[in-house]
Amino acid sequence: MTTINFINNLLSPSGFGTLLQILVTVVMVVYVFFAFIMTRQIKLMTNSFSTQASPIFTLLAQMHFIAAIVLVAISIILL
Amino acid sequence: MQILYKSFMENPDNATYDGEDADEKTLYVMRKSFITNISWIFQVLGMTALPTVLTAVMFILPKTGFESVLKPSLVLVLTLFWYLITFGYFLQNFVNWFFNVYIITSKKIIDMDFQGLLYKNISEAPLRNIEDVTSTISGTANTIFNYGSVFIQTSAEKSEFEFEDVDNPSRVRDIISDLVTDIKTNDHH
Repeated sequence: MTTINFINNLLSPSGFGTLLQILVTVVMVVYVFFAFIMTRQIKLMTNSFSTQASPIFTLLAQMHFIAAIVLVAISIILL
Repeated sequence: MQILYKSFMENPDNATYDGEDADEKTLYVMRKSFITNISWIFQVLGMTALPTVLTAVMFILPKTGFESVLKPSLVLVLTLFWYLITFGYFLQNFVNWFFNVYIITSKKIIDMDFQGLLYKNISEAPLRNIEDVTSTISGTANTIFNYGSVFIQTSAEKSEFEFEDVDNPSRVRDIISDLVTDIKTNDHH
């Protein structure tokens, strides 16, 4: 009965919303890895070809990575 | 900062590449014509406008009950995540354009190729190994905006370089030909 109640709650509008938020959080965690790889990629690129603008790209990539982590944290807090 | 948007730079300031010799001078740095970025720029603009458009559409459409699933916190998180993805898409495309460069130095030509997140290919050939240079403009957009490809035949292991979609390919061809002629003339003396 507990399992049936759990499934019924999950399929209700509010439960479905919570399930959706969990799925979105999981996707965002995966995106954090993508954002991290992008910081490594940009570091590789700036090492290969260095210009006055290199620090700008490094900063943007790091901000993007931090923003992804913060968004995961916000998502978990709001769950 | 001109280096952020220019696709052809002569004697660029503070531009160096990995493997540059001490006595080597970077003469030209080229990228694909900025016009080749139009497609993804419009995609980014569309992605930026999408949350606003969706909100307007949902406001106009009759209520279906699905709206109760979309808690304000979920909508906030989804919107922020969408803008983060949009920024990531913009950054990925811009750095791919910015760092995929064709460099001509006083000694050689270099083709730096980064694709996606995990592919890096750098090819170089000494100017004295260059045998033939050809420029091509093909297509309506290329003709209107004067960008095309420069094919460089060498006697090195990599026999052909292609500088793809560069601005004013005729000028690039002429620059390379002149440099090759100068260096081969100096070798004979």
